[in-house]
Amino acid sequence: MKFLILHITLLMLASGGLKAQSIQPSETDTVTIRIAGTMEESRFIPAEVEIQKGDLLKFVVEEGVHTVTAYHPDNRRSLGIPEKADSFDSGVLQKGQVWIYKPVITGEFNYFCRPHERMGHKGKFIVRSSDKNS
Amino acid sequence: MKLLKAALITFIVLSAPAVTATAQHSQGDGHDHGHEHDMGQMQELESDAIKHSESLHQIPTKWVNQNSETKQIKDFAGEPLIVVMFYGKCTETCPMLIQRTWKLYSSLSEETQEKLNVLAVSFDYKNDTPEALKEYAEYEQLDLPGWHFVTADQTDIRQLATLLGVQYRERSDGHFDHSNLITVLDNYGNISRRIEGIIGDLNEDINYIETLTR
Repeated sequence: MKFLILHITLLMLASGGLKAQSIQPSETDTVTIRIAGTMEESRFIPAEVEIQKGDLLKFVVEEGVHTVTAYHPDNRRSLGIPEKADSFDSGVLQKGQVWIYKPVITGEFNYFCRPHERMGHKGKFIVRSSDKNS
Repeated sequence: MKLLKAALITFIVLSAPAVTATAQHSQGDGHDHGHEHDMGQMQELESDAIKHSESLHQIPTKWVNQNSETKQIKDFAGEPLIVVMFYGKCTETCPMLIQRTWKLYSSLSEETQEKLNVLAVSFDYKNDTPEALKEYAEYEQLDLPGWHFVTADQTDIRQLATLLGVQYRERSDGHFDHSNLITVLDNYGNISRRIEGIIGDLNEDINYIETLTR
């Protein structure tokens, strides 16, 4: 019995350790943007952010139904991201879902939430070059 | 007199299918190729009759689009038609539903796009006037030749929704609870494909629509 308890404890510790290990290396290079609110209360938090080239953007939906959609002709909008950047569109994101985007070029990226754009649900991130990626 | 009346009714009842059959037969090649051919032709005619009996081309509603032009579904006879129901001020799923419709449309070959129309019918007969629909279409960059954002009377909208299997109800806050459905009508106006929801792969639907225009 003692052996069984010890075994379970070791397993739990090991799995916790693995979990911590899998998150740790990416955390320093990941910037989280929360997507909160519904209807006119919808917002990206922060709405504007600066990141380094190579960083990841992690969009986390806290409530409602939203999208993270680039201002780009592919999305039937005027160009609001660097000309050489590819368009992006997360598609439908619901509460609890996470969408990750990794910009590969520097510049200013403007984006919006498709259902709430007219209510001002828009955001911007600026990607700066960094020594580690240059 | 009663006898005459009964005879007249009997004659009308018996002659009606004959008239229909004659009209349908006139669509054939006019040659007699024997019993086997007749059977084949009859089967063809039966399926043709079914197609016509279920056709949404029969709906007499005159829809008004974003350019204040009147459109009937039968105007699109001979071509497939994508029908989607939405409302302009929706802040939940309609923008994604319209985007999904656009994704479906824009993924088709140029040749198919030219042969195809989109009818986007608003539930919101109070607010989605032709002018409001024009503004919506322009904002969404969908004020395109084959795209018709339309409105009509409340009863006409309800009738179409019922025929398509779209459920909706107006809430007290002026918004609508509704199904998310894209319907494809074939060249005869029959419902030939239903694409439910706002997520999911569209490849099979795209391939299917391509076959309708060949």
